Amino acid sequence: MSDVAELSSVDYFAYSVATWSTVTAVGLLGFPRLITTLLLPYEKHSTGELLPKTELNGFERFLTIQSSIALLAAAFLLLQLTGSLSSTPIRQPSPYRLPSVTFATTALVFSSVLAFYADSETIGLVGKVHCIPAAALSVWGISIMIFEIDAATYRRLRPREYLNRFLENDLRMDGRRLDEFRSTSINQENEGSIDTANGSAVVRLGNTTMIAGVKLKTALPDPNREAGYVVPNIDLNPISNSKYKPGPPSEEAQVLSSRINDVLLSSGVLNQKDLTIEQGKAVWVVYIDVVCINFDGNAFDAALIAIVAALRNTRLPVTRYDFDNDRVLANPEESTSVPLTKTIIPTSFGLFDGKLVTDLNDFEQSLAHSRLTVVINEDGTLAHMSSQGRNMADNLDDSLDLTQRAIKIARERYDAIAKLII
Amino acid sequence: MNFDRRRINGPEATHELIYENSSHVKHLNERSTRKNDELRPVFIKPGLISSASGSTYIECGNTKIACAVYGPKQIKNAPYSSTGKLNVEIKHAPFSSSIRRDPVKELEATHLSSQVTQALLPSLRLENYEKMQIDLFVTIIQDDSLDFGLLANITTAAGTALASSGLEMNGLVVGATVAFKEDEMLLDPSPSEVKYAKAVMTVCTLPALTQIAHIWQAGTLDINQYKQALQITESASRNIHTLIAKTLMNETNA
Repeated sequence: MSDVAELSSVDYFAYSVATWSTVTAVGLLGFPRLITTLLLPYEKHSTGELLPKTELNGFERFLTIQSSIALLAAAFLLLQLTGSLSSTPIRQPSPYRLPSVTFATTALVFSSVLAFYADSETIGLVGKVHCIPAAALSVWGISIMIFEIDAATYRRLRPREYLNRFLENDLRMDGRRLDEFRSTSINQENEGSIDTANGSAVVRLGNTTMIAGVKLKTALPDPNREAGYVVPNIDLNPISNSKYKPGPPSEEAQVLSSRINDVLLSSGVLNQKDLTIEQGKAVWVVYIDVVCINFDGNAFDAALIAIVAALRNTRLPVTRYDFDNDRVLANPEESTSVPLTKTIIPTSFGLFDGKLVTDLNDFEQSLAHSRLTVVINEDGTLAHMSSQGRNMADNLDDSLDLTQRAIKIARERYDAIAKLII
Repeated sequence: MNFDRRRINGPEATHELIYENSSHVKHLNERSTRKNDELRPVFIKPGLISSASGSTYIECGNTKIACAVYGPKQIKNAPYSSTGKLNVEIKHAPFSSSIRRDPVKELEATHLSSQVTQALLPSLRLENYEKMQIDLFVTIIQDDSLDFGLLANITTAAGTALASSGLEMNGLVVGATVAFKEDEMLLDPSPSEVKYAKAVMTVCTLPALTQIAHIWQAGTLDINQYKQALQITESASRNIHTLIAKTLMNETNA
């Protein structure tokens, strides 16, 4: 996230308290006599009469200096701990924001109450004058503690409650309804298409951006199975989100690749038998690599849509087998389309306490109780369905009901997406 | 060894496509349409990656590069260091070049990473980020300039991404490449031009400070040509610098 946070009420509170205690401390330190003589011009003499005050005694002076130093230290600590005064050029979110506010408020409450009930005969107006700003600041602090935990802090501390507040009102954090999708765009030909690939597509689901590229190679067929190879791999690149690290594919990426592979193979989108170039000699190897450029949840949908779109605009060169040299020769001028039998479109859902929510972003996805994925064929039938996580609903009937609603939404989604794919 | 349990694997041995007439490999003589000291069209878009501190997508001709900056964040369990650390990771997408780059065999482009790091270091004020690490991730989506051109493009993209992340910097670094073909000097050469050149040179500069940050050169060069090349790259870098500055200004105002 962006590091330069906006100033919130916690910061203003910290600034105010620090300013107040600094002013008090500087006053005490610089003009201890001035303050005391202004506010308390007379002192009670042993005879009982009030006489003009002349000088602070040594003990009073010592106490004044000590307490003003303590006040300065407290002001500095408060600014540091709330992160309002940053020691580094970029403000780091401080984990001590709310504890600091609580601590400062408690101190202020004690201070103002003690000042209010202090004996006015001995200290004169000092008590009342001190009490008013301290009381005002403590009321502010309490109100921050009760009402104004800023949204970002609340989201970080209690993510589930934060999300539930939206879901209770059938709304999402980004203003969507529960069954609404993020804006989806598919780019197959113009901007962003990759010339070095045999086919490519860029898919954007809200912030999630995936680029699929198809590369064709040839290989000897498996003697037991006369069919071409389809090799899909999804790379959750460290560029796309801070949670992905460089190196070999993470567990999440491995699971995603193998799920996509399962769907592609089991649904028979690509007719692998038709990927034969010469019986027993050569077949096509269709490498489909998906690179995630920006990750914000729902990787499965974005990746599969990108793959389908990339396969749609992949051209297979017309080939002939050169028996003399045992190699495949491709004709640069002529090409056919990839033997796609149909189009499949996935729709993934998250379930929150029995509520069906579509197209989860990263934050929602990390909190979903369970997930459900439906892949729809051209004719509206199911190509694939899977669910993960805790039971979808309390009883079987509710589960069935949810599933039916999911399939209905997925069918509508199919129509919307199929229009975008050339 | 072509098998990796963590990936979906294809067959053991595969072959690249062989085209019947080699004339298919179109050597687009771009120079017929652009001058020797003319850059290919450059498109820069900062702020594409939502979770990064700063990011850029750059298109330079057909070269497409995405670049993201994460951090600065604290390095944990590391000995104290008085300066920050810049960590550059460059990766080619498997479909980025005409021959598929197998991710199993493909090691990270370490040489390119170290070149880019060298080029960027003069622009950063790492002494202000003690104990912190800045991660710079680069993905090459399509490569149409080979290593020398890539160094220039990645440096430009990375400089823009670092600037858009709000880090303290001395200036923007911009890279430019020249290929020497007999007496001609070709700015921003295409792969075929690099292939047949007698020398190639990439110069990364800080145009705002008129300073050179990094030079990478291969092949033999006349000293006079060297000076000329510096002038050509300098004026090209200046143009790109203006473009980036404008783009970044628009981005912050928007």
